[in-house]
Amino acid sequence: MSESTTARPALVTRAGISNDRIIGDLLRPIVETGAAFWTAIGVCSLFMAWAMFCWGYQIYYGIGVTGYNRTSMWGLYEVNFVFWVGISHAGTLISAILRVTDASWRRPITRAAECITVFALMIGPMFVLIHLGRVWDFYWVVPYPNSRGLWPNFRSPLLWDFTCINSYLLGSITYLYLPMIPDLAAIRDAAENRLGPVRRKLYRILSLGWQGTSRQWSLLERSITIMAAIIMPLAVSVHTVVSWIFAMTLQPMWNSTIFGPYFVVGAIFSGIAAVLAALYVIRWVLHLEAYIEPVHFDNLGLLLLVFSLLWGYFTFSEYLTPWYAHQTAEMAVMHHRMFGYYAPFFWTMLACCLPIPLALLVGRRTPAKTCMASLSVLVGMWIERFLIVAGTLTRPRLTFNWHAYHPSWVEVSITVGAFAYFIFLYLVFIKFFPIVAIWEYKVDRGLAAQENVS
Amino acid sequence: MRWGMTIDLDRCNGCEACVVACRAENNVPTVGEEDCEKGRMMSWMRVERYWEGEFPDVKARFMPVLCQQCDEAPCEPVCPVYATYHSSDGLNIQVHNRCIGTRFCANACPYTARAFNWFDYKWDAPLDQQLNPEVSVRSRGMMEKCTFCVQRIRGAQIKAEDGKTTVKDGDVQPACAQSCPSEAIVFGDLDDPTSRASRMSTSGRAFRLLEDLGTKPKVIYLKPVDWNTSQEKESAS
Amino acid sequence: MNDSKLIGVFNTGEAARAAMLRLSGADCEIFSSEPLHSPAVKNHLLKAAIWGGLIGGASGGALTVFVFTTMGLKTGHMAMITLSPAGIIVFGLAALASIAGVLFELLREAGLFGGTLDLPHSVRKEVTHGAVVVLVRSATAETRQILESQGARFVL
Repeated sequence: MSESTTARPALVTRAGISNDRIIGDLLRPIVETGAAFWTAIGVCSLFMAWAMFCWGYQIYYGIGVTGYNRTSMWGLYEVNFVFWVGISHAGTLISAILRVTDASWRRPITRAAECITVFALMIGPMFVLIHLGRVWDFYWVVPYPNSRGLWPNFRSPLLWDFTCINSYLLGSITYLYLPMIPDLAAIRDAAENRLGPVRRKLYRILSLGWQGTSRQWSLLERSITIMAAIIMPLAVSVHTVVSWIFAMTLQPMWNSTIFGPYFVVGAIFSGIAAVLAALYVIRWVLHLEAYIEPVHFDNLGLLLLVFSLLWGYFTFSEYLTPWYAHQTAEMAVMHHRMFGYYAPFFWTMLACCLPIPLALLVGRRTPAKTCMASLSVLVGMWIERFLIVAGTLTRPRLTFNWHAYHPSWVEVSITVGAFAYFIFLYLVFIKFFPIVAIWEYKVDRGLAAQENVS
Repeated sequence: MRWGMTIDLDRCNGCEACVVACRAENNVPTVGEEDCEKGRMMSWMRVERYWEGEFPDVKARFMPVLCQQCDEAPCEPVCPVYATYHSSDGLNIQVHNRCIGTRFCANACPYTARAFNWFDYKWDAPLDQQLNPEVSVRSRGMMEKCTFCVQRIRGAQIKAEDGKTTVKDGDVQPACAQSCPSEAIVFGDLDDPTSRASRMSTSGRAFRLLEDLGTKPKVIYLKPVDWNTSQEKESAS
Repeated sequence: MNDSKLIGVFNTGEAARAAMLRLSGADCEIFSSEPLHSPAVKNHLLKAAIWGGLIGGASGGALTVFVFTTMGLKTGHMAMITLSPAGIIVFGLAALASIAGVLFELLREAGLFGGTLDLPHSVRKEVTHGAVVVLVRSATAETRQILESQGARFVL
């Protein structure tokens, strides 16, 4: 047996690429760990530890350690919640759309996008816990028979959020896991002697009974397609419901009928940007230039361009109608955002989401240019959420109560900590799972080769 | 039974006795100078002061604002744990112990009537000796707001349970109404057409705060009369 | 290794497929590291998705109706049973149960539950590195010959 193994000829895929090279390149981050990895983990852990200390400090003393006040009962935590839930639309929705429309170029990048969804969904709802005044009683919103004799209130948009986000998170984890089963089996079989006993066991459990029979392949591909169809409406519902937390109130500039679609467009917009930025970093750090190619940046950049225009249109509609109606309370908020205290934020947001990405994305969309555009979009979209939350709350209807809101060091630390947490999760994921789907990459190359032949 | 309140703005001189009485009755904490500057005052009742006209013809307008006890309260449906709900006698109830502190209700309230416990507050001696035993002291992370002094309402109702007496108009008075020196605040049953509050609420001067939002507040304001203008008119005629 | 079991390791999918054709009638299976686009297998995945959705939706509806009827608390102007919140809960649970249904059905139908593997480690490693393997469960005397004549690199 061992003789035959050593005598293995260099097999090539249908596209003529060496299988050994693919396996070697894509499993390298899993079996080899360098000093850079541990440095990055260490830096992220420092920020995370500080953020956790800040949260503990806040739980011990009370929400008063933030900059919140009687009018601004919400602030950075809710901004981050909306931002991260928005980012979560990156993966699953994009990869589901591309899967259902059968865009084959998506194949090498779907996993990188899908795990963004899962991590963003782990971080976003975390802010709901962080913002709770009495976080130790958070489970009171879970519907189960209890000694309090009290069920949660299903009329509350927060309950809708709880339901939809839970479904979306569990669905996204499944959707990330299913296409990964063959790759987990590949690690189990190809890298077994290069892994420790714990990890060997891990892959054996996670890859279930996968052995790549034609029956298994057929069933897997079918179930992924069905899953993609289910997850799309779920993703749309999640951000619609997030927008309803604001839109279902009577507050000026929140109570808007287009908030649902506006939020969904904004979410996909920032989601694509997050995927692009992540892909750029992965490609550069892991030397995956042969796998994540300029065509991916070009195509995703085009998608970003379309959503930039769409977002611009929605923002225009969102501001034009209240301005024309000119109601006092709405005008106070709008003026506050556009020409008042928050004017620098507003115009930065507009610049970051419209002219800058447009200038970078019209014409040749190189990886570097699309990455710059997406960073600009991420900044702009974060500010957009900040303006929605803080802009309205600092200008309540009874003008006597107008009061400024200044975030405190606790909120800022936890915000930064969340970004560190995201990078940390991504690093750990890369260490355990191939970030480019091995089998999907082979299929994509195979299809491309077929096209060339015909 | 629908408890309600009328506030005659013509009688209000902005003395803030109601604010102080409310604090004492309901164990409302004092947040201190620094937090007050941050906009974290917790009073359930505040006297809003607005200036009218240009200098030197300036008039100060006072408007005591408390929870409007809306019939269609925007704060109620948004609470995920039923910490705020409607009682059968029309009160907009806040159950402190049930609150988990999402603060969603406060953001849904167009009147900024709700206050949040930012910290665990302490009462410096000897103030800790005069806490009202009828009202729970709230811990950090809870929402609170004007209850129409529900402890007094329930107290009167319990007293009347013996069957010999009934809760008559004027038997129940929240602390603010009780302490108002100019009797601007009148409390009573709006469903009883003979109650003082009910009669006041049908006055031609009556209006409700941000009435156009459709929240149907049970606090009814009576518009101030501009005596100068009306006297001029009278003399002209 | 059981005598009636034979494993042929091929370099390409085409050769393995050809061997499968020659072996028609025998109980055999093909293993590969990427889908070979063989004809779709009959499955109940869609049915599982639909049934999961129906069950999830029904339980979501039952939960909301139960809660609205048992909790006798009024909250503002909203009626005790309103369509919008019930609809969202129903929708969320329907989607979740639908996903669970597909997942469960996939694990069941694809035989992923038990985790028993038919191939020895060395052959699985071959598959991972691009080989296509044909496993014949009811091998006869000439099976080995057929496999070899079709270009199997080695037969176990």
